[in-house]
Amino acid sequence: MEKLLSVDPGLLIWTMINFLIFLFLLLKFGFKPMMNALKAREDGIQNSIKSAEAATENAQKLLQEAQNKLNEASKEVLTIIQKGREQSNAIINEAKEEAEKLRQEKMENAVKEITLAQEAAFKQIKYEIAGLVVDATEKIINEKLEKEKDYELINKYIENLSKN
Amino acid sequence: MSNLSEVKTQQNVGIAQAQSSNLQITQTKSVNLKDTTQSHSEAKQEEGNVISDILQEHLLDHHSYNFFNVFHIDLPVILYDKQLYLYPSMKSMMAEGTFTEIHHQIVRKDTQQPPKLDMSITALVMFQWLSILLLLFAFITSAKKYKKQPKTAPKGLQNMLEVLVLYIRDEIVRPNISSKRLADVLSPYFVALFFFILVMNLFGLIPGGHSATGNLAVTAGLSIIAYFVINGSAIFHVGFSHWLKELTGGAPWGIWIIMIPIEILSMFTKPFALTIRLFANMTAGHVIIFSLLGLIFMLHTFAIVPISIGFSLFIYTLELLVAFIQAYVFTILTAVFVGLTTAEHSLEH
Repeated sequence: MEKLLSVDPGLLIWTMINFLIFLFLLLKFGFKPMMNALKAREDGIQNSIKSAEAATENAQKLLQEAQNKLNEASKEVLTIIQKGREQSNAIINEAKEEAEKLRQEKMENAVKEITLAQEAAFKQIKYEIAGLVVDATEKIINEKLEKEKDYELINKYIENLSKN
Repeated sequence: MSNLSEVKTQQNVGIAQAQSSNLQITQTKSVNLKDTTQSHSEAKQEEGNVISDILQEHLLDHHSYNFFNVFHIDLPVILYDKQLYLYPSMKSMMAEGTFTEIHHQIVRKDTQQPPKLDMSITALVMFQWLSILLLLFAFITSAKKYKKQPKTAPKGLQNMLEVLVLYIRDEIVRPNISSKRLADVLSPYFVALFFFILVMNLFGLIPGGHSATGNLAVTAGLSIIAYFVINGSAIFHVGFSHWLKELTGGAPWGIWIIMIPIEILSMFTKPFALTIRLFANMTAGHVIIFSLLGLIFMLHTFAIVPISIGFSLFIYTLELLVAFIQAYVFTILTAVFVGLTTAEHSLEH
């Protein structure tokens, strides 16, 4: 068992040679490509994070813009609606006024016509009544009065009557 | 500073415990073996040796690899003794005749002396290569995926590697090494260290596998590199004169005679602690599992089987955890040591 604790110089030298060869080969074919790839990946991730941040910022901006546009549009819509309402109210009012006017006019015309008709009727009635009265009085007092004189007299009275 | 020294002492205590428990286990085992050999029949002695042999086979390094006697690989032998000797296998070395094997040790036939340097491709070197191939395969396939689909989220193996690599970089290296530039330069080293140790640890848990980190030479090799990384980065980062000044510990010159040896010693104790910690942790688990299984052969009863299997399964799961923890600990402690020696204002503490 004392062999277990002895150091074999050949194996020691072989170990050092082997390790140095391994170190060289690992460095050349394993470690460097891995480190380069890791560096590239790190950079890639960094870049994607940056571009994602930029994209988010851009999106935020666009969203803000859209929001602003939407706000403006809704404001515009509100004003348009307001205006429309006002206009429609104005139109309704105008129409109402016009209708009122028309009604008024028609009423006035009617009243005028009525009064005219009344007057004509009155005139007619006066003539009729005068005729009837003349006829009646003629009949009653045919013999007593001269025709022309009487007409004048009666007309005078009727005139006075109608004036009063 | 006080916190760190506390941590250090705790670690040292931990190592000491691990070592002592390790030694105890081996001692009790050998005592048991002696008992059985003295008082019991020869059959029992053989059975006792079976476990001991398997343990040796599993923990020690060999010049060949044997997978449960299903297949056997002869590994090349490379020796240096005044000149370079290359043999495709142990057998061909024996046949050639310059060297021979006595008690599992290669010696020169004429002088009976071991060669100056045995640089053979042993089983543990093979397992190191397997670990390296496995890791490179994993890293290269995931690197291909990175190239093919650089922007998609990682999946599967690629994701697992990425999580671990990023964990090492962001939680181990960067918090401990204050200089960002130095941390970036050293992070591949720490990644390689963590994965190399982790996969070698895990290989020991596969049936037929050996954990190379359960051998002192392997952990020592890693620690020597860690030593150079720690002090090299200190010299590189704060300058050689500043690094020399650190050796005085920032104390008044009167006690330099005490401080300088202590600081120089601590320069070597750090990697030494790393060496022993990893080795002891990886070896202890294997020894415990084999000891628990050995109980069946020692006590000669089937009644112990559920206990042995249950406990060894528990230890095995624990080992799985330890494999990760020790890879992590070796890595983070190296990072802490680098951070300590390269701290900007370490003299002011």
